[in-house]
Amino acid sequence: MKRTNTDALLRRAGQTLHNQVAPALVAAGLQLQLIRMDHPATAAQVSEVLDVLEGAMDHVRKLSQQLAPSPFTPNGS
Amino acid sequence: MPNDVLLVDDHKIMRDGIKAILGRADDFRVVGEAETGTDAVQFVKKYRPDMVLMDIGLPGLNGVETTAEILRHHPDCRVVVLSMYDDEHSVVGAIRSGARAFILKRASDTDLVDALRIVARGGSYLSPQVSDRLLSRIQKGDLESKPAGAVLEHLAPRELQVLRLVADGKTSKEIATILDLREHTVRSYRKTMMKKLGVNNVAGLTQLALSTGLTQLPRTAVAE
Repeated sequence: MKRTNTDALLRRAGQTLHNQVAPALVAAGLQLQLIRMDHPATAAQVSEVLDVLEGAMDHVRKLSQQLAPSPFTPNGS
Repeated sequence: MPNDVLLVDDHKIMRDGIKAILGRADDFRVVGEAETGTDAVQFVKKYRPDMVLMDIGLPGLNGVETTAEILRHHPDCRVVVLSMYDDEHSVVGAIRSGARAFILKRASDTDLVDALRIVARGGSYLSPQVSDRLLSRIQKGDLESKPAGAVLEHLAPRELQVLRLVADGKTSKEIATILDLREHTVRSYRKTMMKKLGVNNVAGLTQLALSTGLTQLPRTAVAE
């Protein structure tokens, strides 16, 4: 029973990463890219922030894939 | 003349960001937005956009199923799939459904506009991370030669859609609405599937869909 609860919690954490954290990171990245387009003078600084975001995004992608695999992965459930 | 694009994503924050990026490109015009696969299919049937930018992980009818459905009604439509994951099954599923491009959602830089331009010219596109990973797997020889769930191979695409929705707990009436079918047609699909798969009831269908990875436990069940 305990194991089932832990599994469910982990899956829920993975789904939260996938459904809430990742879209927010991507959306923030898109907005920063727009700022970089509109204000070329900020390009270097914005690019640095984008690198940090992308690092976070990579972690989120890997962790959420481990915790709540893509529905297209066999036996992902 | 700009290409008319429909955006399909259940996250408004994503649609807004993509719309803003496409707003800077003269060759694309966002003509509609949809949060669900069912709404996207209805929009395409009515307005026939040139392109659809499709999130793969939609609730209900997922991005792969929605792509297949859209192309059934509007075969000339070019569908570009966006995904959080770059696993082989997502990529292969999207391409099999008829998508012309598979783009990985990233924060730092987007290849979205480049990909859309290539597809608008009649080409196909995979994000570099996706193609690198596929190439590497092919070189290592560990790319699956068969799709997941070989037992489901002899089901028609429509039957697979119905099976997944049955396993998701949808009633025949709800499935009929989602897939734009008559209720008795859905019941007929269910009967045929049970016969083909050798199961006698909905529980058997659900178990099979879960064990082959066609569907996952619903979020509410998982959350409890």
